[in-house]
Order: sequence, then structure tokens, then C-alpha cells
Amino acid sequence: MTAREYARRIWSTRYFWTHLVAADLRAKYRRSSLGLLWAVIHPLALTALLSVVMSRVFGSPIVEYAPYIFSGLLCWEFVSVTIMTGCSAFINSEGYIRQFPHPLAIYSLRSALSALVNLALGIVGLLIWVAFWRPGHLLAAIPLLPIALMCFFLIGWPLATLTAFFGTRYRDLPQFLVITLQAIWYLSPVFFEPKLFRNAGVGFLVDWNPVYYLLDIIRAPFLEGQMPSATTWIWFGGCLTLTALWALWVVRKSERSLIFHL
Amino acid sequence: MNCSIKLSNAQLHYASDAYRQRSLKATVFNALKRQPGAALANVHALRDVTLRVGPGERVGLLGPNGAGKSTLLKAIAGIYPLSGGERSVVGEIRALLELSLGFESEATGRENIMYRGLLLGRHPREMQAMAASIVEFADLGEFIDYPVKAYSAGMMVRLAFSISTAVGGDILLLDEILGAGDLAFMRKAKVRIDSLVRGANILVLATHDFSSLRSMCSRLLLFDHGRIVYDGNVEEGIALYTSVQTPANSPGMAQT
Repeated sequence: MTAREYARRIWSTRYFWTHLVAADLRAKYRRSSLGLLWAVIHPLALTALLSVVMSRVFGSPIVEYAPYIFSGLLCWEFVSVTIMTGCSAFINSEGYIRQFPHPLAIYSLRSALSALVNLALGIVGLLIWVAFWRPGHLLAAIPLLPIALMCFFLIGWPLATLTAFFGTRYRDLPQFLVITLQAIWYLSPVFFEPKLFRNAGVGFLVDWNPVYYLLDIIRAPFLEGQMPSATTWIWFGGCLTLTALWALWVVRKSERSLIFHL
Repeated sequence: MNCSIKLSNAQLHYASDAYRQRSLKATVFNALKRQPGAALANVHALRDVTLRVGPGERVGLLGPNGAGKSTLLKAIAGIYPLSGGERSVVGEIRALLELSLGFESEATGRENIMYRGLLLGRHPREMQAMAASIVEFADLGEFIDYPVKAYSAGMMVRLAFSISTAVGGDILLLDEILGAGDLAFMRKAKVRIDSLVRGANILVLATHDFSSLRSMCSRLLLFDHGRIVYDGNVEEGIALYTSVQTPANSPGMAQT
């Protein structure tokens, strides 16, 4: 099957997967009266806690440091939730896959889109913060917001697709990924500032780290009021191309026989 | 519309490695020790099946467990990939296979009517219009507004059956679906199946129930070890099957 035909079939099932995403969001917030606000409250509370402690420890001003942590948490949550829910995307959709020959990528699309809605809600929180404390940054933040969300989605979908295929084949993949993701999280400038890494002589953990550049797509406009640098775009473009090509190759090779592994 | 199902020299293997290493740990350790896991043979579930079904045909599939009936239905539906040969299907398929699968267990029965309808390729508005009649047919009372995880197995089949049979299609594939549900629902379901069968362009039905084969089908395929061993008249096929099915030579699992 050609890529074009595959894309057409994904489009023709759009009502189905958009409803699945809505179902995910409803299920997540069904039992709480605060509903979707939880998407913002959880990282906000964690931010409050961390920034009070960290700004004392590192002597950074809290007004600068709190949104730094908040943006880090939001982006990281998107990456880890997409990857981890991707692992079970096909396994949880077994009932659908066994009955209908729809393109499998719609099930990993569900993981990526659900996480993206959470990210978008969190970013609204960030936007409010910026509007209060750094209104000048809105000039860069607002036009870049849809582009940034698009970037996260574009990298999230192939990532979820990859973990969906490998997670079906190897059922212990989540356990490995939890450890791996935790390691990456501590080795990346998610809540430690880049200068801490550089001062400690491990600047390569920033400069050669794709996570840093992914974070920069949100942080440059929101926290510094500027466009992400060319280096950021090159790193992001490179990582996106590699991940997408890998995912396409896996889909082409394993899509049809996946059902035997369920 | 001229619907048709064509299979020529269709082969289908269940990949045996799917049943072997299912963990990263085992794969890595086996690679390190250079000890391949115990080898299982691939299951050869369809062997050289050539089949042509034209518009208006009512085909019954009969054979011992594991002979390849359900596999054939899933291959026609495009759910299982062929490992050899050709498949070509013209017409919209409606497959009623493994009906109780595919619910969002956190969502209510009513919400699931929408999901399954969309899964079947319908438009949300179309499903909204049909919802009331589906709810009525499923007849689950107040349970329709409960999450599906609170349902019994029979209730799930009732709901799935009501939805899947309310939505149209040209080629109807049925796999032993009348086994669940209580007596009252079974009667109702039978009536609906009959009207679907009349409305469908092609019917392929796998069952062990001779009376439904006699009443619904005009052609019978007898399966054994993944091969078609008889293709023709329903009565003769049933007679052949009952004469062959002595306790000594069943079941007919296919293996290479």
C-alpha cells in the first residue's frame, strides 16, 4: 500500500479517532469536579514546590525560575506520556484491531493527540503567567504557540507509533522505558538550568541533547521573548526526520503482521 | 453493485515467533547466549485456498475446530494478511466477528454506540439518528447509561450485535455469533439476521448449526486442515461432514 493510500485511510477514519481522543479526555477527568483544570493544577503545584526550593538553593529569582520549571514539566510530561501510552496503544485497541482493518497508526495518533491536548491546556497556564509578568514576550509567544504545538505533535506521533509496535512485540518494554526516561529526565535541562550543566563541565548534556532543543521551542518564545535559534530548528528537524523515517519503515514492515502479536 | 470475493492460491501462516519471545529481556539474553528459543513451527492455517464468490451467493463454512473457517473470514475481511496468493474483494464488508471485543470500557453503552458506529465508518450525525433504535433493539434498560465495564458478557454481545447489524454493508461475514444472549434476544436476533441476509449481496457464514446452514445458505464449503475439501450443495456437504466426523479423526488442527 502506498503512503498516500495509507494517509487517505487515516483521514477517512477521522471521526472514529477524534472521538477516541475525546473519550480519553473524558475518562481522565470524569471523576473530578475540577475537570480539565487538573491538567494545569498538577504541574502548577509541582512547579510551586520545586521553584520555592530550587530558587533558594540556586539563588535564581523565582519569577524567572518558576516558568522555567513549569515549561519543563509540561514538555516532559508530553514526551513521557506519549511514549508510555504509545507502548500500550495497540494492546489496548486489540478489540478494534481484531475486528476492523483500519490503519494502525490511528491508535498511536490517539496517544499523541490526547497528550497534546494536555500540553495545550498547560501552555494556557504558562501564557497567563507570561501575560502577567512578561507581557512583552507575548509578541513572540502567541504567534509561535501553534507552531510549537505542531512540532510537539509531529515528533509525538512517530514516537508513539514506534513504542506501540515495539511494545506489542516486547511486553516488558514499558519497564525498560520507565528507567530510560527517568535517566534522560535527570540528565536534561528540564528543571536544572543549562548554566548549571555548563559550570559543572557537562555542557555536552545540553548541547548534544535533543530534549534541550525540544524544550527550547517552548522556552525561547515564552521565557525569553524570542524566536528559537537556528541551531534549535536544525536539531529538531534532524530528530524529527530520523524518528519519522524510522516509524514509517516500521509501519511498512510490521503493520500487517502485527495482529499475530496481539 | 457487483460484489465479489476472489481468493487465488491463498496461503496464511500464523507467525510462530509471535508465540515465542514476548519480552525484551528474553530476546537480549538469548542473543547473548546465542541460544535461540525453542522453535515452534509456523501454523499453516489456510493452504492453497482458491475461491470465487459472486453477487447473490450465500456461502456456508463447515469443518472441525481449527480447520480454518474463522481464519478464512478474517482473511476475507482483510484483518489477517495472506502469506501467499491473491485476495480481491469488491464491496463494503460488514464483519460480525468476535463481537464482544472493541468497547471503551470506561464509556457508557450509549457512548459506545457512537464509537462503534464511527469505527464502522459512519458519520457522527448518522449515528445520532440511529442511536434510539439501537438502544431499543439492545433492550438493556437502565444499563445503557452505565459504563460498559459493568456489563455481563451477554449484555456486551447484545449491544455489539445491535450496533453492528444496524449499520449497512454489502458483504456480510458471520462467525458463530448466535451463541450468546438469552432466549428472547436470540429470537429477535435471528429475525434481524434473516432480514440482513436478505438485504446483503453476499453472505459468508461459519457455523456448526446445520439448521441455519440449511435455511440461509445455497452453497457449502467444507474445510479440513486449512483446505477446502468440498464445495457444492448444502445437503451433500452436511452428509459428507457427518460421515467423516467420527471421533477418531477430529480435531483437524493444521500444522507444518
